[in-house]
Amino acid sequence: MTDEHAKECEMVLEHVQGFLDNELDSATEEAIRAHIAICEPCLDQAEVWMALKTLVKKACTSEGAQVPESLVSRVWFRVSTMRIEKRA
Amino acid sequence: MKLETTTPDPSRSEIQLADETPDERDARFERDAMPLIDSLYGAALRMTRNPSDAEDLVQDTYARAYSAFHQFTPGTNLKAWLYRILTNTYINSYRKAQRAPQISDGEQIEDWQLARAESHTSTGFRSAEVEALESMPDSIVTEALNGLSDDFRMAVLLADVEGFSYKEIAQIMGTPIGTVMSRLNRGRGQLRDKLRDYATERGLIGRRQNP
Repeated sequence: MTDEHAKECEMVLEHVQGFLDNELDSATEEAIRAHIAICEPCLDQAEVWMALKTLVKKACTSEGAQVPESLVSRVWFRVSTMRIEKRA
Repeated sequence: MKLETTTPDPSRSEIQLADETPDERDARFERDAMPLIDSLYGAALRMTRNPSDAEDLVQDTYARAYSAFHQFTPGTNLKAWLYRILTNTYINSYRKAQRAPQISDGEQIEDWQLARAESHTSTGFRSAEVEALESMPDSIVTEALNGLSDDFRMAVLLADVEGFSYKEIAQIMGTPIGTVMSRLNRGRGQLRDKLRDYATERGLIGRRQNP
């Protein structure tokens, strides 16, 4: 592994989360894309962080948190009460 | 998911606000803020980890949002504004009284993920860690998340579950973007370690390899 390649790996590891979050400028994003296309250890890392993101989302949304109807009414009631008090 | 980033036209919103009667503002609150109750309840549930606290948190959030609605600039991001109130309310009231923790959407394949198939250096296999993560039970993941410090957990939830951008998370948590990035990096890092330990203990992956 050349020094230059090792430096690129370092850069990728530092920015890979920003890359997966779509938060990088296009030049850095391009550099990361180009690097992980030829570097398997970095591709592995990108895949792990991506899997982690997907996993967190899946685990937190699978509970299917439906808003209880009673909550909608209670919020509505509370806001309406505040409105009446405000006007009074 | 990126939320709209349209810059508000201040001159327009000022005029709009100046002309708005209290009734019109109430109607705007009902029309724009109330439909977000589903998202807010989901977020509240993940923060408080129990339905009854989550309901109280959502009620308090809407009450505060209603009182402060004149301060909201129309055309800016209402969802982020409400999340900010939710987050602050949670941090200020519920976190202190927090009880002990109890115990996909369509995956889009990106170009870079296809690199494995095309790469010459590739062995063609995904790492054992990825395989282990994909078979991880939801309960283990939520337990690991609950083990993170509140700041780290919130940053991860806001980014990966709610889909907010770094800039929006910075507004919601009231911190600089650099802090958001470091909380995310460290929070995800700890999460990864916990899940890797779980998988290692069960022999799903070998003892710790590289990074």
